[in-house]
Amino acid sequence: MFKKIQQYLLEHHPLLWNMRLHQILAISLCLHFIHFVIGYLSFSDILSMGYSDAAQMFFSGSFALFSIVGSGIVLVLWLVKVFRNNALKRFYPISKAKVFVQCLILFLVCSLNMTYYYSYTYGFVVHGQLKTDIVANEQDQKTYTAVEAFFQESRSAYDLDNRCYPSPFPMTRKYINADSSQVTVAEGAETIPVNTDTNGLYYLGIDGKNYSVQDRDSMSGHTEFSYLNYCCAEKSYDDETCDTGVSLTNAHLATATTQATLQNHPEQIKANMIAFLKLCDKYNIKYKLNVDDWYKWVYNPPYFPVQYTIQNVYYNPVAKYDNYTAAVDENGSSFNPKQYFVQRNKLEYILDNTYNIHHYHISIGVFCFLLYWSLSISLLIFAFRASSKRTWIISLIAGALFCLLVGAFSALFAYGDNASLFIIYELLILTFLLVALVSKRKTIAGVALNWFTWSAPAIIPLIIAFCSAIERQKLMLMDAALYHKPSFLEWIDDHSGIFFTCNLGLYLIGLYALSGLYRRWQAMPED
Amino acid sequence: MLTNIPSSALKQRLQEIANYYQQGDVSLGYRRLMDAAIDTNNSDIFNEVCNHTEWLCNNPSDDTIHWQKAATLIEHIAHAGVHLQKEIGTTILAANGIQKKYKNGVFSLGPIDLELKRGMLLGLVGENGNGKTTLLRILAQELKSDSGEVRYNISQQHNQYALRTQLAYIPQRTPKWYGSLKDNLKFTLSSYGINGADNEARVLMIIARMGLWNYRNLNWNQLSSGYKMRFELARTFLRCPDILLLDEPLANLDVMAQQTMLEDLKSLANSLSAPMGLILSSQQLYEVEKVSDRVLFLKNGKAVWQEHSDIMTSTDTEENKQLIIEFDTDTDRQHLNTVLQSLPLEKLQFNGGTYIAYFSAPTSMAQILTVLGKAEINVVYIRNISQSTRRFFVAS
Repeated sequence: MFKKIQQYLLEHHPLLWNMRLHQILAISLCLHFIHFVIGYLSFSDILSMGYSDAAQMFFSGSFALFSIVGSGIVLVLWLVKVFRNNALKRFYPISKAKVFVQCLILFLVCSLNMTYYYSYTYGFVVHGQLKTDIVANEQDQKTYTAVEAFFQESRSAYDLDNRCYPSPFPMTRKYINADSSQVTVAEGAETIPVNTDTNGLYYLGIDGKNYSVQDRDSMSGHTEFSYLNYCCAEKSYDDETCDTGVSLTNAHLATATTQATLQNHPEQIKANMIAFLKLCDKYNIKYKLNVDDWYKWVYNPPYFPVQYTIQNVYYNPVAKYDNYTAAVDENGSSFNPKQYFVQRNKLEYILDNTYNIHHYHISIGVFCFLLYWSLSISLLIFAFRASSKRTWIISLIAGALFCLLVGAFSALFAYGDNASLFIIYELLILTFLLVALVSKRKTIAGVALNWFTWSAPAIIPLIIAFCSAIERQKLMLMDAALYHKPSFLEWIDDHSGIFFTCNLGLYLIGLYALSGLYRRWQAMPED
Repeated sequence: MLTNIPSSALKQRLQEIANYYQQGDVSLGYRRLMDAAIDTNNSDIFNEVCNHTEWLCNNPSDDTIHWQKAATLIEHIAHAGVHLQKEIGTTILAANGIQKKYKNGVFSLGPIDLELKRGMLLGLVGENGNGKTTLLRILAQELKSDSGEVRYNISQQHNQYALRTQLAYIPQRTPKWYGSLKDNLKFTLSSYGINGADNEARVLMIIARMGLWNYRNLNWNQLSSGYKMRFELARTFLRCPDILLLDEPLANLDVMAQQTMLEDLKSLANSLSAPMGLILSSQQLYEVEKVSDRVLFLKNGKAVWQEHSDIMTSTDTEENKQLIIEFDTDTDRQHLNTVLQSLPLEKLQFNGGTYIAYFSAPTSMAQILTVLGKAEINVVYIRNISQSTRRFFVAS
């Protein structure tokens, strides 16, 4: 059967036969399946994942090394077969389109060989989804979130700005100038913007109204340290952590906790704590904490942290502190770190990993990286195949030296002026094309053509980088409040994965024209 | 557009083949029969030849049945007819004033003018380092000349790459083939758009024609240099190039194989259906001169022409009237001088191996043979080199 296919391709589709497409596709698909099976078998239970999430599991053992080396060997063996015949170098009638198809096949095969990671991960995720219960996980997440507020990080967590109350909280700090213009203080900003009237400090509530400092303090009620007014829910279901920049979703969750606390329902608080400790038992989480002591801290929080005591110790939290008999709390008093602890960190990973396994999606950034890596390898191979061995080696060595020179030049002369640098790079790339087109000397034309082929994927990103650099310079010269970033740059910032994928697609289309240039170059007589 | 070959031309060729068989030149007859079969471009004929070749390999000494089968084949070929794809005798390559100087300045080629017609075999001879390979590479568009012009009159000229698909250059050292030899040949043919059963038939046909039937399942490393060259030639003939340039194709062949190869090349170049222009370089002067339509002798990068019928460059005119004889004998030089004095001997040279005798016109070969015979000179080798480029090699 396989031989029949081979003979059919040889007699009817010599290009496909030459590229051994049927063989490499069969092998690659088999290897993808093997990776899927190994990934599937690698999942035993959620506890065994440790601190790695599903996307990292491929790299957590030695299998990744075998996989990378193995795929490299497969690629080399395939290339040995591909290089046996070359219609272009033998001057058989081969159209520009067929040269282009060769490059596409190289890219396809390289991509297939660089993405075993995904098959492994999908195998792992599929098994994980079968063996874990997302409904139970949702409930566990909620149980954890319910007591989230009762783990303190430090006394600074009680700062008023960190609290979360019902609407109009959380509030954003704003300054209202004498001319009524408003300036929002950027997140994390410590300095007040220029031309801002510092007396005009107001808070913007989520209801859109401005509140004075006095308004805020009177509405917040509790000012003394207590869990009652500590409402930051670091852990919450299906959202980012809530810290100082409290998101609305977290705010609502935390608000619910706060409400329960403010209403002083000790039974509910205790029930939440008991449920949490049961959750620890369920997942074999080590802890030394009892509900009575813990409940006391709601109204009289300690100066020492509970959850951080063993945060970084996964397997044997107690052992880490064997040499410690005492530590110093925020009040300067000594305390025994082993007296109270919860292996909360481990629990978080378990809950997160379960959640992530059921909501696994491919990171477009990583996918883009793999695509570009595949493109780089396939372009190196294509240039080797479409030009001569000698030209390729010169291109590679001279290219490396040239890059070093350009890098040194950039570092020495263009520091801080990125826009000029990007224009120089762009002009260099276009110069390669010009030389490849006009040079009558085959070696020089070949080297320039290879360099252009290798650097052309950067043409559009360099234009964008140039525009961004120009915009940055504009921003430095004008009031930040008056600056508006062009919408296409905003879009690219927000959708960089899509941008780079489109750039790759455009480059591959442009490669069709380059295929014609390689054919033309191949027919040039030597000097 | 295909046109029918006049049936008289085909008939004449088939009659020649029949004559070879009847005169006992079975091997030659069979090779010419295969050439005629190739001209038909007919897969059924190809399959018939391949079956016959297989039978022949198993029954090498059964000449009677061989002839019967060959006669049947001849009939089938006559019935199939031959279609002319390319016109013989048209100029396909014209080079004017080609010059090439290497950077170190040690050697310079040219200026060289030459013309190649379809169906013509041009021999390129000269000592080592006189520019044969350089000239071939320039004509094959592998190397750029410093000055001069090469014009091609072939079908595919719309771009440089298309032109080069019709120029086949085989260097002295043929590059290694990887994988199955047959698959390589099939790949070549399918790259030229010949698919399916036709592909298989043509490949086996050329394998049979080049005498490679028993070697078709070997790999490259199992072949001798001579057979490697044959496989390379098989691949090239499958491409049906307009111009074939061969650099020292005889270098690795034994004496008999050299003669056979040259005759085969001549025959294939003169194909009725797809004739091509062929230029080959070689050190084998006698063999090359024998089959070439024209010989170009290169000395220090400069060209000296010779044609078989009417001769030569203007500077050679006086010399061409001489009769130059190369011969080998154990007789001493003094005695030879005495014997040859009865003829208008101009000079007698001994180059360490053979004697070169120059006679002024009008002296004939018959006169010389008579004189030597009467004097009972024991001649072991004698050759008239008056029209041969060999005179340039042996001249002191």
